[in-house]
Amino acid sequence: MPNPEAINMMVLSNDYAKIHAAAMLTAVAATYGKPIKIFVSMEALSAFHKDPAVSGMVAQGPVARKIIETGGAASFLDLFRQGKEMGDVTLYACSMVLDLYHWTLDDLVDIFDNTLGVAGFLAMVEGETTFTL
Amino acid sequence: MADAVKIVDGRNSFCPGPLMELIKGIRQEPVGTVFEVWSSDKGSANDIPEWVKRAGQELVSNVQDGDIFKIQVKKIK
Repeated sequence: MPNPEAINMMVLSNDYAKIHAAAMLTAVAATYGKPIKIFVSMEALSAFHKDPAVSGMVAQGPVARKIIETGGAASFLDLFRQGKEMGDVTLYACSMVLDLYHWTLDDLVDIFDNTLGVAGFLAMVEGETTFTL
Repeated sequence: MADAVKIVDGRNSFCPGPLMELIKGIRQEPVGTVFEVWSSDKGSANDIPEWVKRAGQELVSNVQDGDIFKIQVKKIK
């Protein structure tokens, strides 16, 4: 049954600002008790790689650079973790991208609950609010 | 007699940092606790009351003191 309270996100872009926005929405929405499912796919997944040489490829626009330089803002990883501490937040790594790069969840930072394909995500979020970032 | 106000010092942190610090406090402390969030960030002074309303807590006051915004919130549930 679709949950009218649920928020779901497809995070696809390797734009740091979009990933950061997804993390901010997640951290705050989780405190309302909203279930949140986040499907990280396409260019966004490498931002979560353990190897800084890979995750460092994330694109940083002026706002993203300001966020990082200023140092007063939590990182997107910290915000996703806070969301998980506060509420019902589930992150999924796209199985297609993992397959393309021969990565497993062990290659990614320890924040994902599972891998998922597009059919699985569609089934989970049917009838619910879903953003694409 | 009212208990002392708990200060949540969110100065030099940006949205949603001060809000997340407040929420952590609200989760830890008992009903009736009053928090005062200090924020140097105008965005938080606008955004924290929105959270308080949605979360069903009580906004006690929201004042600017020099460069600092002081937002008092009471945990009522």
